[in-house]
Amino acid sequence: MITFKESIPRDKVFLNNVRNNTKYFCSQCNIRKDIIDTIEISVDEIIVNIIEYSNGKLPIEYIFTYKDNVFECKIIDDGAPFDLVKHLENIDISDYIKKRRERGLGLYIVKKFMDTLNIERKENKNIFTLSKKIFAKETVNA
Amino acid sequence: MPELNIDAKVLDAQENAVYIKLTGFLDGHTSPRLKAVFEKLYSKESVKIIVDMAGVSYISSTGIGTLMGALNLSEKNKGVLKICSLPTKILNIISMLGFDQVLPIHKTSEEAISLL
Repeated sequence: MITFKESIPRDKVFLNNVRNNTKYFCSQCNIRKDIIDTIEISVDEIIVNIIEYSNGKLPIEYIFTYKDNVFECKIIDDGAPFDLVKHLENIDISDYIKKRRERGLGLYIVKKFMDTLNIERKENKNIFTLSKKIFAKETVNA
Repeated sequence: MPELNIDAKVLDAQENAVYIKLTGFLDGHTSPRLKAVFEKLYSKESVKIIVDMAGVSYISSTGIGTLMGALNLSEKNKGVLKICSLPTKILNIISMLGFDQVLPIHKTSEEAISLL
């Protein structure tokens, strides 16, 4: 199992650091570049949502693991409870495109690119879990 | 490399045509600066903008939303928006999400300029 863990201040200036760490971690797991691109944006979208909307106080912690060909990212935030199901129910991508909407797409992207996106509330914290199975053809060894 | 470099130059003063070359990344941190540039340029009617994205290494939903916002502004103010030279990574993300259906994307700057 490969793991990586870091905490960042609640400031968008750190988004690029998170993306660089995501890309480096995934490349260490031999994940193919175009798949890394989708993981990179997924992690970025969750963190920017937290920074913009959660009103937490503590640094945001994120943990990557890669085990049995599954990439998993946990993002822990002490902000307000978040109703993920309700939010995802309200997203209609064709409506976004048709009406040319400019905001609110982030979680849709995560849902589209990752296999799972879950959130649990524990000890007054939101724990977002993103996971994606990496098939052999999605590695650089293919 | 700066987070986002926005290099805007007048392409044709009579035609109100502006060429914007972007270098860096378009994310939740940097996109508001680009949005402000679009809002300023499109505050006048009939402005034509070409956005050259050859130097863009990353785009998030905020970045895509900024381009959608520019398209909305251009149509509202009888202007034109052309987006060109997208790196494969950026084009893939935009296409996978379906926004290539509405954003005026062109392969090269020459093609975009010829269609102004």
